[in-house]
Formats: sequence, C-alpha cells, structure tokens
Amino acid sequence: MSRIMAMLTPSWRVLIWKEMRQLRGAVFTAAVAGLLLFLWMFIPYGEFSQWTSMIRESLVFWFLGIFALVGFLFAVELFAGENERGTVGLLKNLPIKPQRYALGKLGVGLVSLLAAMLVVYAILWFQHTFLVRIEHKPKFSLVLSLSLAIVPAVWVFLITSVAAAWTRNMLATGLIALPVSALILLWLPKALFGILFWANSESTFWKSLGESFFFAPLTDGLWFAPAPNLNKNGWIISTGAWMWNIAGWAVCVWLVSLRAERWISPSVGTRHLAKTADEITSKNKIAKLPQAQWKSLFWLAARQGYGVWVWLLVSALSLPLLLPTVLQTSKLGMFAPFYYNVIVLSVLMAIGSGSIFGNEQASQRLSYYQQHSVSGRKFWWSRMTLWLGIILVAVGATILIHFLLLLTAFPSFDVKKMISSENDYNVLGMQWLFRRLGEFFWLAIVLLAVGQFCSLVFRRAITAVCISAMLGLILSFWAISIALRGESLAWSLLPWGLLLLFTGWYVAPKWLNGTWSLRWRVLTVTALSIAFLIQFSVFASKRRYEFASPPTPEVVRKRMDAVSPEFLKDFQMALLYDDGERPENQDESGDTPLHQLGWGAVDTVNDRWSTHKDAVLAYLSKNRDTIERLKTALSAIDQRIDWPDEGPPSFWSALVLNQINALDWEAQRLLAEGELKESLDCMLLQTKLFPMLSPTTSTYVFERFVARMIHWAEHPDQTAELVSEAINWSYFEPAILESSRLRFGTPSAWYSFVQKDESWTWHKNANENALLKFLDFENDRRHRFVLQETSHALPGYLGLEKSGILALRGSWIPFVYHFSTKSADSWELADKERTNWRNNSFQELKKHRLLNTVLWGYLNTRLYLQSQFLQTGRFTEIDNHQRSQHQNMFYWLNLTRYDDNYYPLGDSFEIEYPPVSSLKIIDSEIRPAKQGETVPTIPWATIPPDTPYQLLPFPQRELRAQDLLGREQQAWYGLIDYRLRPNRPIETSEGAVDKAADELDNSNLVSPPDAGTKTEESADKDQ
Amino acid sequence: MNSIVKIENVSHRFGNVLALDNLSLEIPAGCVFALLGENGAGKSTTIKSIIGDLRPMSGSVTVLGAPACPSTPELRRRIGYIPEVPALYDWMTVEEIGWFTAGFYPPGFTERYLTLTNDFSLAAKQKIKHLSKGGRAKVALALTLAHEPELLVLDEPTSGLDTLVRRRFLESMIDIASSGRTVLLSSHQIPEVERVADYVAIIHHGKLQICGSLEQLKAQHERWVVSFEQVPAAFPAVVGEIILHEGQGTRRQQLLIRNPGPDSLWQVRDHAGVAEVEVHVPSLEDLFVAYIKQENSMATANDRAVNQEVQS
Repeated sequence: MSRIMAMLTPSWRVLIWKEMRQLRGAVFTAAVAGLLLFLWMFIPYGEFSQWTSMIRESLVFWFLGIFALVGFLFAVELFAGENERGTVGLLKNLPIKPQRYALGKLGVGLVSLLAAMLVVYAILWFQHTFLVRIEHKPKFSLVLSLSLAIVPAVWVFLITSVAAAWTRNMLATGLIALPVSALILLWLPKALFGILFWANSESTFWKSLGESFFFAPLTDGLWFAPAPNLNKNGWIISTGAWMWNIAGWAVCVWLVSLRAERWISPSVGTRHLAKTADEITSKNKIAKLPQAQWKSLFWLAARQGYGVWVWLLVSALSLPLLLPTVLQTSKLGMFAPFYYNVIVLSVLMAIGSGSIFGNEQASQRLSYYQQHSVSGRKFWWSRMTLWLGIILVAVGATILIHFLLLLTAFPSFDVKKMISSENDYNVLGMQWLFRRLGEFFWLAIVLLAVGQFCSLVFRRAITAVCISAMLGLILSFWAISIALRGESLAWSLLPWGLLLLFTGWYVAPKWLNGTWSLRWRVLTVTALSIAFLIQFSVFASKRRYEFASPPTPEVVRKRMDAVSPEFLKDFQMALLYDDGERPENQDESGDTPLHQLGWGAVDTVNDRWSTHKDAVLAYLSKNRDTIERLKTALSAIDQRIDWPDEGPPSFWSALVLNQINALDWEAQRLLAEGELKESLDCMLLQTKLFPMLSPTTSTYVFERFVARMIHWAEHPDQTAELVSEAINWSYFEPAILESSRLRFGTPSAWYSFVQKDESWTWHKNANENALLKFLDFENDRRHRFVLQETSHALPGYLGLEKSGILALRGSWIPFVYHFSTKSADSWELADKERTNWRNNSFQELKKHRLLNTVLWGYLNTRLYLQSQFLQTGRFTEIDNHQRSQHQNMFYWLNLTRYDDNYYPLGDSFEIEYPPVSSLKIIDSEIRPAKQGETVPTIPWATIPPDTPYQLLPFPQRELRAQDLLGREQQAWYGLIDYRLRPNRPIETSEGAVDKAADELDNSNLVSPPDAGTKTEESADKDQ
Repeated sequence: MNSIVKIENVSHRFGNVLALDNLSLEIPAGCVFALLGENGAGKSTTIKSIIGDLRPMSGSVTVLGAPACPSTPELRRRIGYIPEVPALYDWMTVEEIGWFTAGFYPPGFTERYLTLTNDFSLAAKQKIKHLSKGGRAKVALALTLAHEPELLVLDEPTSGLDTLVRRRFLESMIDIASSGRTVLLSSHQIPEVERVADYVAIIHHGKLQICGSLEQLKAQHERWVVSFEQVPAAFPAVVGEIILHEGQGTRRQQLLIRNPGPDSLWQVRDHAGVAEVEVHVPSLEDLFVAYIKQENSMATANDRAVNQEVQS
C-alpha cells in the first residue's frame, strides 16, 4: 500500500488519503454488515441450497439492489456530503482541476465498493456454513453474482455522483439519483447480460443468466412488451397518469433542488446552514410560536415541504404501477409492484422522516425551539400527525391507482358488476387489496417510527437516513415474507409500532430539551438493537429450516405448527366452496373474509368448476379409491384454469401464492406423518394453481416444486413409496403439461429443468441414479412428451419476432435439440452428443438446433390445427391467443424461408425441411374422418424418412378430452387421437378405427364433437 | 497604478436583485484593500467574481493579468481565499490539514504552515472540530498564507473573533502587504479595517460609492460640527459637495463635505447665529455612514419623485 502511495504524486496521495479517511469505516462496515445481514436473512427464506437458479437470478437481483444502495450511499457521502458540510469550498479553491478531485472521489468510492465485496466474499468463502449451505458450483455462482452486482452499484454510484455535483444537498441528490438509477438499472442488466450472452453462447451459465435478464422479461411483460389490451380510454388514462407522474417528479426535483428550495422547504439545503437561527426563524414567521404553538407548529411543518412529500410519495408509489399499465397491461407480476412500493416506501420514509429532525439540528433551529420553550411532545406530534396524513393520502392514492389499473388494464373489469355482485372476483380481489393496503398503512407507520427515532438519535441527517433506510428495508421485506405466509402483519409489527409512542413520549421531549445525554442515547439504541436482533434471529431461525436438507419430520412438524390453523382452514374452504354454497354442517357464522375470497376464487376461475364439484369434493375428502378417480378429480380441477388472455391480476397472484405455499407446507407435513399419497396430492394440487399465478411467480414456485420432488426422489429411504407412486402416476407429466400449456415459465426455467445434470449439482452429488430413474428420461415416450408439450411455448416466443428468435437461440433450442437428436437408445449417447455439441461443434449444430425448433414448432402447430379441425370442422373457435400462436408460426416460417434478413444464423444456412410450403396443403387435406374410412396417410409422412423426428402422442390430452367432451365425444376424440398417434403404425390403426366407430354406433351418436357442427348424415353427404 | 485586480463594468443579477451594478474597480498591488458595504451590498459577489467562483453577467474581471473566470489551477495557486466561514475538514487535525493542503503546492508549504500555526499558538495534534472559532480562522489563515499567495482575499475574516485575535489578525495583514503581496478584505469592522487598510472601496446596492486610498479620502473630506446660538432658520451656503448633513439636536448640525472650498469654513463661521464650527478629519466610519445615508436619501427622493409622477 505504501509503495503504491509512494508512486502517486503528492496531490493524488493526499486526495486519496482524505477520501479514504472521510469515507470512514462506519459506512464501509455498514455496507458489509448490510450485505451479510441480507444474506443471512433472506437466503434461508429463499431456500438457497435448493434453488440454484436463485443464485443466478434472484440473488443477483438482491445483490444488485443492495450494492446499488451501497453505491448510492457512498456517492452521497463523498459528493453531496461535501456540499452539505460546506467543505466543497476548500476543494474548489485548491489549485487543481475539479476533474482530479472528482476522479479521486470516484476511485476511492469504487475501491471501497470492491473492498466491501471482497470482505463479503472472504466471509462467505471461509464461513459460508454460518450463513448458507453452498456447494461448490453454487458458491462460484454466488461469487459471480456478487461480481455482477458491482456493475450496477458502480453505475448508481456514478449517477449519484453526477446528481450530487449538480444539486446542493443530499435530499435533492437522492430525489434525482434514485429514480434515474432505478430506471437505468432496469435496462442495464438487459444490455449487459445480452452482451455477455452473445459473447458466451456456449456457456450454460451465461446463457441461463442472459435469458433471465434479457429474455425472461419478454414473457413477464413487466419491462417491455406491447400493450394489446388497452382500449382508447385505457390509453388516455394510462398515458395521462404516466405523464402526470413524470411531470410531477420532475417538478418536485426542480423545486427541491433548485431555485424554489428556499420557498418549498427551508429545512433543506446547505444555503441555510450558514444562517443563524434568528434569521431563519424570522423568515419563517414563527415569532409567535410560543403563543400559538399548535397552530404555528402545523403551519411550520406544512411549510417545510410536506406538500412536496405527499406528491413525492404518491408519485413514487404509483410509478411501478403505471409503468406496466402503459407498457404491458396483460401480465402484471405480483412481486414487482409490491416490492417497488415497499422499497420506495421505506426509502422515502427514511429520507423524509430521517431528514426532518436532522435538518432541524443541522440548520440550528433546534436552539430556537429550545429558547422558546416549545413542547417537545407537541412539536413531535404535530409532525407525526402530518406524516400520518401523508401516509393516508399515499395509501388512498395507491388504492385509486390500483382501481385505475383495473379499469384500464383489464377489459373484463366491470365496475357495475363489481358493485352489484358480491361474488365477483374483482370485488374479492379489491377486498384483498384493501386488506393489504391496510397492512401497508401499518407498515408505513412503523417505518415512520423507525425513521423518526433514528433522526432524533443520530446527529447527522445522513446517518439517520442511512440507518433508517436499512432498517426500513429489512422490516419491509420481513413484512412481505409474513404476508406471503398468509399471516397478519399487525401483531408482528406491533413492537415496532410501540417505538412510535416511545419516540413521541420520551425521545422527542428529551431531544428538544437537550437533556438526552449521550449515555442514555447509547443505552437506548443498544437496547433497541438487541431487541431487534433477537426478534429477527427468531424470525430467521424459523425460516432457516427452509433450506435444511432433507427436512426431518420434526422440522416439518415444527414448520406446520408455525402455520396458522385458521389459514389452513381458510385455504381448504377456499378450494372447497363454490358459488357461495357451503358444504353441509358449515354455517355462515364460520365465514371469514378469506372464506369469502375463497368462494370467489373457486367460483370465478371458471364456470365449469361447479360441474366438477363432486369429483373435487371426493378428492379433497380423501375418499380416493383409485388412481383413476384421483386423476379424474384433478382433471376436473384442471378445467378451472382458463384465465383470459390478460392473465391474472397481481393481487390475485398473491392470493394464489399464499394458497400454494400452504399446500407446500401441508405436503411436507403429510409427508412427515407418513401420509405419502396425501402429500403427493397436495403437491399435485399445487400444479393446478400454477397457471393462476403471474408468469414470474409461477416460475419461482415451479422451481421449488420440482426441487422438492427431486429432493424426495433422492431420499428413497424416506420416500420410496412416494417415488414409486409418483412414477406410477406419471407425476411430472401433468405438471409439465400444465406449465407448458399455459405458457408458464421462462426459457431459463425450462432450460434448468432439462439441464439437470448441470443445474442440480447437489442432487447429482446425492444420488444421480435415483434422480435419473425418477425422471425416467430413458423412457423415450416421456422425452417426446416433454418435448411436445414444451413446444407449445414456442409460438409465443416466435410471436415476438426478432426477440423471440433470440430467445430461441438462448435456451429453448438446445433443449429441443437434445431430445430430438437423441437416438432414444441410451441416455449416455445423448449425453455424449450434447457434450460434443456444447464443447466442440456449437456453430455446426446451430443450424440443427434451429431446424429442430422450427420443425417441432411447426409440427405442434399443425397438430393443433388438425385436432381443432377434426373436432370442430372449422378453425373459427381458435381463441385469440391460439390464433396468434399459429399465425406467428406461419409468419416466422415464411420469414425464415424467404427473408434472409430475419434469419439469425447467416446466409449459408438452408432450410431443407420441414416442408413449409406444404403446410397449406396439409390444412386443406385435413378433414373429419368418416365412418369406415381407412385412415389416409397423414401429410407429415412427407417428411423425409431418414429424419429422426416423429409425431408425438397426446396421452394427457386424451384424458382431458374425455372429461371435457363427454362419452360420445370421447369416442370421437379417441378416433382422432388414434389417427394422430404416430407411435402406432398407421397400418395397424384400422382396428382401432373400427372400434371407435363401433362405439359411436353403439352410443347412437353420429355427430362429432361440437354437437351440431357435423352429423352422420352430413358426413355421409360429404363423402 | 499597477493593478493586480481590475474589475470593469461588472453587473450581475440574482433573480430580481441586482447584486452588482456596472461596478468598476482596480486594486493596486502591495496594499491592503478594504471592501466595505452593508449586508447585501455586493461585497461577497464581488469577491466571488474575483476568485473565479462566479461568472458575472456582464463586464470583465482580470486578476493577476488573467481572466478570473474560469479559474485555472495556476491562478488559484497565486490566490489565497478565506471565506466568512472557513471550509475545513473537522475530522482532520491541525497538522493533517496542513499536510493535506501541502500536497497541492510546491515544496516549502508545510514548513511555512507549521511556522504559522506555531506563531498562532495552535496545537498540531488538535482536531479542528475542537478548535474555537478563532482557532479555525487561524488555521484557515495559516493554510492560505503558507503558499505565499500574491493576492489574499478575505471575506469577513474577523467576524466572530474576539478583540485581541481580531486585532492581531488584522495587523498580520499589514505584514503581508509590506512583503509586496496584496490583501483584499471585506469587513463590517470598520474601525479595525481603518487601522490596516491602505485603500478603501464602499459599495452600496451593487454600486461603487467611493474608492481610493484611505489617506487620500480623508484628505478630501472634512467633518464639520456646527453649533448655533439658537435654532437656525437656514443653514449657510457651503462651497463643496455635501455628502451628509444632519442635525444633532436643535442647535447642532453635522456636515461631511467633500473637497470644501477654501473659504467655506470662514463663511460658515461668519454666518449670523453660528456659535462655533468644529472641523474634524473624518474617520472611515464617518465616511461610510455618510455615503450610505446619502445613497439611501437619494434613493428615497427618487422614489418620491417617481410616485409623484405616477400620481400626477
């Protein structure tokens, strides 16, 4: 170090020395402690050891946020802090160029960030077992995640530095830097990972990571996507709100940071620091303060920028809600708006409440109040009352914004219906929303208490803001985790609400009277810190068994004991009830709000639910005699999941997630008690709820689901029977079917699912053979089933044109390639091929991958068209989504064929097959089969005989069709299924056709499905 | 005159407030130049334009032969500036801040700084946040003097200092000027400034009222205190520019006259009813007050005239 310092010129040397000293160990330590605390708190919650993708995706996101905050604080301390302390004048008068001290600050800030990261590395590397259970590769991923997080941190640091140089105080710096950084950070990872992806196409890790950030948002719809569902009014409202928001924010920043600073808020800004207390107070016209304290105090507080704070809060809170409204109305992720809101809430509360007293101290007005014997309690309560008012306004505005969101984003949202119908899911959803907002209000009050307490305890505003922001974030995420468990926030947060009273009745008067000695301050802070740590340790210890592997029965029981029985009861009721009907022996007095909501859940998901009530009730009452009956019941439940195209709203998603979590706990409890079948039922039932989630959330849950199952499979000593049952029940197939059919999951999720030998290293270490056996990937039929079902997702990606092509290249294609090139002889051979492809001949195989993708997507579309046609005799019943799927497919195929510009792999590649041009011919040839007709050679037989591809079966769809169509239609569908099934020789299919025809005869039904469309007579006529 | 600072027709406005109104000023080398004025007169704005911290809206400022704005590191190396509230890093010790600042100047800085702090009786290991206001001012002065600037700019340097420290501080200005360097200071402490200043400029509402060497200004002005035997009906005519004319009770009046005529005094003395005329050399404070009052009364008269015009 000394050698490096000696190499520097004297001016560099002293600058670096000063900045390093000025940054102080406290900030650095806070950064490291914050990082470790977050890891300790949240990784157990996230089941770190089981979700490798969490390391790659979610953890990067967390680190990104935390490091960004650290970078922000560093920049504020280094730049805005210099301004606020008035020492920038000294720097400006030094005989050096301003760039030099700016560079010095930047350099030191960046080095400090890196150093903080290295400390965290070191702790994790050598003491990781204290925090998390990390295997070799995940540990490496963790390091990479941290490394990646430094990039946005640096970015935020730079943005904040610029903002700090432009503005004159920390508050204005924060107001500019935080939103600008947030907006930029939304795009930075996309660009960064996109570049990394392209540069490292062979790397599984980069590919997965790149998809997560670069492509997954395409399906999330959160960041950028078209907004097809907005009508004209929706556009006007959304755009107007958006403009209002942006303009409002800009005005606020301008008012606070520039000329109007004095007018808006005399408490902020360095220009006031030099003023004497008398000067400031005379400007504020509070000379009559002692005579009319309450009035004057309110007036003073209102003058000190509270109006601006209202606007800021409302703007900030509504920002994430308006963003998807404008950009993408269809699939609002549940987490994003809620997280953003909480972050904004905690940070703004921290800055606002933290600075309001801190600035009083900094601007020396404290002495004025003391001189005039202002009551500390009055002073504090006057501000508190105003803040509570602000929170109320913010909550009200959030409700209004949600309401507008519903009006604009969901065409099916009907206000009249909402008012008139008690069972409408919108009403119930709004009730849920109000409940959440009530908790949100409570959380805001607690954050306010924390912020104000910090601002009174710590002398410097920046210290108060930083500490209260950190505490606020932890409290907020803690609150989220409580909410996700379906528990009430009120009691959990009560102790921190009491802090409010303590602050008002004890701290504030002491503070104002100047009688709060250092000793008492230290004692109070220490006591509260210990209480804080104890409470959170208890919380963390409760959550830490989430990643205990394997979960022992004791652990699972403990977990279940922690779950509110009321919640479980509610949840079961929610599943059982429909249309407001109550089961026998259940009177109305037992209803809870969640019961009501449960009825709505069941009632409104799909009208057909009621027709399958008996089957589901039978299933849930554990009166399951046979696997078939269970399958029937599950299939019946399956019918409930037809959401309209706009997808589930965020509040709905949150509700369903609660239910899924409860099911997950219930499954583990049942497992611990040896109820294997029931446990598996709970797991299966989860899959039925997946599609009701937003895409992002469903991905998250699905990964846990798969990890759980594999985890069980790895411990046959505990779960041998379960595994056996799972295999017998073709457990994974329905899960995958549901997931793929509903366009659920991101490319990376599928990729990680398939790349099991890489992504699930810890499983491999445990028992690779058990895993492979369980997955049964040597069963070729299952391979193809997976391939077929996941190919449903393909047209959705293709619909995004170029971006879709990128997505294809990113993840889905290798998956397809892997199975399609597999000779079905042995797993080892396929693995070898895959290795070759990955290691040696990636470029060469690109064309195959693309080819396969195109082929399978094409076949899938064609199958779909055929089945539609055969069922209905026409294509008119294709819904919008399906229509867009196959239209996009045609579009893309044609582009691929005829327009090289759209072809991503270069001019040298030629598509030989599939026979794109024959697609229309195929369509025209498809027609309903006639009785006694020999099944003709199906058109896909035109595929060259040496191709490894075969048409795929529809085993699960067959089951669904039976349930859906009824007996006579089943028979018809059976015929269709038979005709389309490629793994049966065509030549031997006549018997089946005859059998199906006999069935039709015996049932005296001559019409194909979709009764009325085709009759026997008309068929004969056609013939 | 060898001017080290030359301000030509400088105007600057903050919103609706005209801070500098066509100000022109020259500061000769090797003197102590005092810039006097009320609060908000434009002193700090003038100083900021000199040190390059502010670019005036019109006019030019030349310092040491170079444009003041933008201020180059070379120019800043030749200028020392102490603001009203010295910007110092509280967490540094007296010694550390010297070492820190020395990094930006040629060798010899530290030695001179330590000598100065020793002269000022500052403890090297003491943290700056523990220093008194006077102690902080001393540190700021030592930092500024240690690099031997050709122009030393002090904005209200003595505010908050106790009498002894203030006196010693100002006396050190004379030593600096005697070594050939130039000191520009603004202050409210007019009697103190009078003891050390060679040149004085009085600014009011952004305009320059008078400027010149203190000696010359005193020579140009006389303060008369005229006593009457009874309440006078009218004051006798006086040859010369009357800057201030105010009553001190009913039978006593005070005048500040610029360049009085040679016979003026005798004419007043010989005037009927005049009991006595005391002639004083005006102090700097007399001059300051007289010019400020004159400017204010003229402004009031102008306002009245404007109002009358509006009413008519």
